[in-house]
This record gives sequence, structure tokens and C-alpha cells, in this order.
Amino acid sequence: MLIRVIQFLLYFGVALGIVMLSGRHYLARDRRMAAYVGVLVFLLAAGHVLRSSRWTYPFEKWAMYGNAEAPSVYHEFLIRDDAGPMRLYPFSHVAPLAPRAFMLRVRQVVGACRCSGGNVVADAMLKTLADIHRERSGRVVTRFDVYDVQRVPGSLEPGPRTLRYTWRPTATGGP
Amino acid sequence: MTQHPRWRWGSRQHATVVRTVVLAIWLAIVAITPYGYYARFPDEMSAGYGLGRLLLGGHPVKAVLLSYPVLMALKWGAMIACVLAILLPNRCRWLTSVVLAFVFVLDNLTKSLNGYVNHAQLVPFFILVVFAVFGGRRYLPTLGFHSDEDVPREPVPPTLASDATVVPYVSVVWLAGLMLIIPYTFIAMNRLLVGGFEVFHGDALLDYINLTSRRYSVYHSSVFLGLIRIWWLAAALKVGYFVTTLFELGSAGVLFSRLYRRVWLVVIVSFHFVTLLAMNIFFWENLLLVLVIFGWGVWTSEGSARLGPADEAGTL
Repeated sequence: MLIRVIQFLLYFGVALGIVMLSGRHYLARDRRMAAYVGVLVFLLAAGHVLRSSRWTYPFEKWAMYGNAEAPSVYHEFLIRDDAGPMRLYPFSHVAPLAPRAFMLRVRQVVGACRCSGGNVVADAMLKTLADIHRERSGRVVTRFDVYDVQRVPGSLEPGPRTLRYTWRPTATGGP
Repeated sequence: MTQHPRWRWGSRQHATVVRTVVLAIWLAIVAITPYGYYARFPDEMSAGYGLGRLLLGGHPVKAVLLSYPVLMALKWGAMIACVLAILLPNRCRWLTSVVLAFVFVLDNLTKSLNGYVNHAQLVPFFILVVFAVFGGRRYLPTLGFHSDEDVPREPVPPTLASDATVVPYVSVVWLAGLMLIIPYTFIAMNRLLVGGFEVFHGDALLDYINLTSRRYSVYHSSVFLGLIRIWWLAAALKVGYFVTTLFELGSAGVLFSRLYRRVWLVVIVSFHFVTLLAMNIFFWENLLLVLVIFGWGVWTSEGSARLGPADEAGTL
């Protein structure tokens, strides 16, 4: 808790310093803008150190690629929609601006069931993705797999892949 | 050579361009996003973030918001409001607030289907808030691209005309600029405090490039998967990462020095294109806003280098 408070004071102090050095002449007589900037800087610093975007959005932690350790696992979403090998699901159909954020939500839903198939919510989600793919490309998805891929430390090659969930269209519920 | 007033940082034209660009960014975001699909996903998939929890917390409200007709109404309402706000900047000031309301709801619905909050839309959101809150005639008396002589005389209440408590135009552009500077500064501080020396010296950057090149992306760039195996190029990338972080840390310097602003723009714009090719990450929204806010008039060589009241007083 103490560390969070110190972090907050550090970020708040730096942001406030930038504001005062660059814009005090705007804020000196304008109480409305001064109040707005004060609250905003406070919330930006608080959101940055609280690390809980579920509660603080739109005041977020600005921490892009700042850890010395990259994630050890990444996710793959593979579909079969023709006679060829399985390929990555084109999430740009559904989330053209933030496909990775959407992909992580798909992985979270799949992971929440703690099963490898047959979950009602996960099946409904993957069926919807398959339906959208058919509408956009004209291709019928006959299999949808979610994999976790391990990163091997010191190697740039992908490590072992683990199948986490699989979906296939049923006779009644398929696309 | 004397600088034309319209290229002065924080001029009426500059404020108009920044406002137009942020509205155009949201118009593009809303137009591109297929909101109609959201109605087809299972209810359990969506989970609100922050203030969005108020919108999506109750099941009946969530069901209404995520229904196809409402999603389409929100999408088209937002796009029409954006277009009108761009085309009629002076007549309908309140439209910026309407755009903000639409954008707030739509962006929350998008985020509710995401596993994390994508930062790409945060800066445009905060700048839109600036123009919604400070978009009135008190701060932006007349919006337009034409020169001051061509501005039609509109009836302005005497209390606004003689309002000496605000610095029009430039104070709003400054505030919009802060919405870029503070996040860049926080990113760099976090990287230095959390990642430390190791994030630049170790293989973290190469691992990030490896991961982001292999995962699905809209941009399909994997050219750096091969390039990072070349040792000297990998080392150069790490050095570039460190240099970029230093420039991010010193983002506030753009408000004080024109020379630094030029160098900063080159570094930051290059950085955004390198992350596109190396990591399939392209914050085009931020890039546009960086160029339009801090690139404005940067090529001129006369006048005060500092962005602020010196400009406002017409000393440039």
C-alpha cells in the first residue's frame, strides 16, 4: 500500500509539474480549467498505479511492453474452413481495431469453463465467430481450436502447443 | 520571413484542425467497427470496465444496449453527429457533447468484449472530452480555417467578448496536447521503474517482437522475425528502444523548444512505424494527433520556440 502511495505521488507530481511549468498562465485566472486539469491529473495518476482497469477505465495503467520478461504463453485460434491445413481465425472481421484484446476475451471465456469442449457459453461464442466467418468469406468452419503456445526462453521458435478447447459444428447447431 | 498567424501554434485554425481531426478519428472508428455483431455473442461474454460497469451492470440495460436495433441506432447516431459537428463547428457546439455521449457508450460496449483495455482509443477519447468540455464560445470563440479577416461577425454576448479570465484557442490546444504528453511520460516512467535496465539490455524486446509477429494481426507483418536474428540489428533495436523511451520521458519538452519538438516528432513518428512493422501495433489515432497537435507550424523558423502565452500575445 505504501509503495502504491509513493508511486502515485511520483506520477502525480511529474504530471502536475508538467502542467504547472507549461500551462500555469492558462490556469492562473481560469478556475474552471484549473479544476478540470487538477481532477484529470489526479485520476490519470491514480488509474496508472491502481492496476485494475475493470474499475478505473478510462483511467488506465500505461505499461506497454515495460516488463523485462515477456509473457511465457500466447494463444492461437485455428480454424479449418477448407481442405487445407488449419489457419488463424481472421479476427479483423469482428474486431478490426483491437483484435488482440478481443482474442484475449475469447481465451478468457474458454478458460473460464475449465474444460476442453462442450461448454454452452464457449460453444455459442465460437459458433457466432464461425457464422460471421461464413458470412464474410463464404467458407464453412468445420473445426475451431484454441491453443496455448509456450515460449521457450532463449529461443525465437515457438514452443509446445497445448489444445485448450475445440469446437465442431453439430448437426443441429452448426453453421 | 514572417510566420502567418494561421500557422501559429494554438491559433484559431490550429484549434479547428485538432477538433476536426479528433472528430474524424472517432467517425472512422465508429464506421469501421462492426457493432451489429455484438448482439450475436452470448450475454456472458461481455463484461464492463470502469464507468462501463454502470451501463452494463444491470441485465435489462445490457440486453437493450446489446440488441441489434439499438447498436445500429447508436452507430448511425454517432456517425451523423460526428459529420454534423465537423461540418457545422460554430452553429451546433453542443454536438461535440452528443458525439462524446455516443462514443462513450459505443466504446464501452466494445471494451466489454475485450480481454484488456486497448490504449489506442484512450488519447482520442480524452481529447474529445476536452473539446466537449471546453468547446463553447468562451474558449473557442469562432472556429474555422479561413483567415481572421474573413471571419463573419457573429453576435457575441459582451460577457464573452470581454472575458479576460480565459486564453482562447491556445489553452484548449495545450490541454489537448497534455492528453498526449502525460501518457507518453507515464509509459516511459513505468518502463524505467518497472523494467529497469534489463528491459533494454535483455531479450525482452526481441521476445515481444517474436510474440507479436506470430500472433494473429490485422497487419500481417512478420518481417522482423527474421531481422531480429541478425545480432547487430537486434542490438540496434534495443538501443532504439532505449532512445525512444528517453524521448517519451521528455515529451513535455515539445512545449518549450521548437528544435526539440522537431527531433521528438521524428523519433516518435518513426517509433510508431517501427512498432507497426516489428510488432503489428499501429496507434494511427495517436500518430495523427501527434502530427496535428505538435507538427503544426513546426517548420517555421521565426518567433518564440515556446508554445504558450508568447504565441498567444502574437510575438511569433
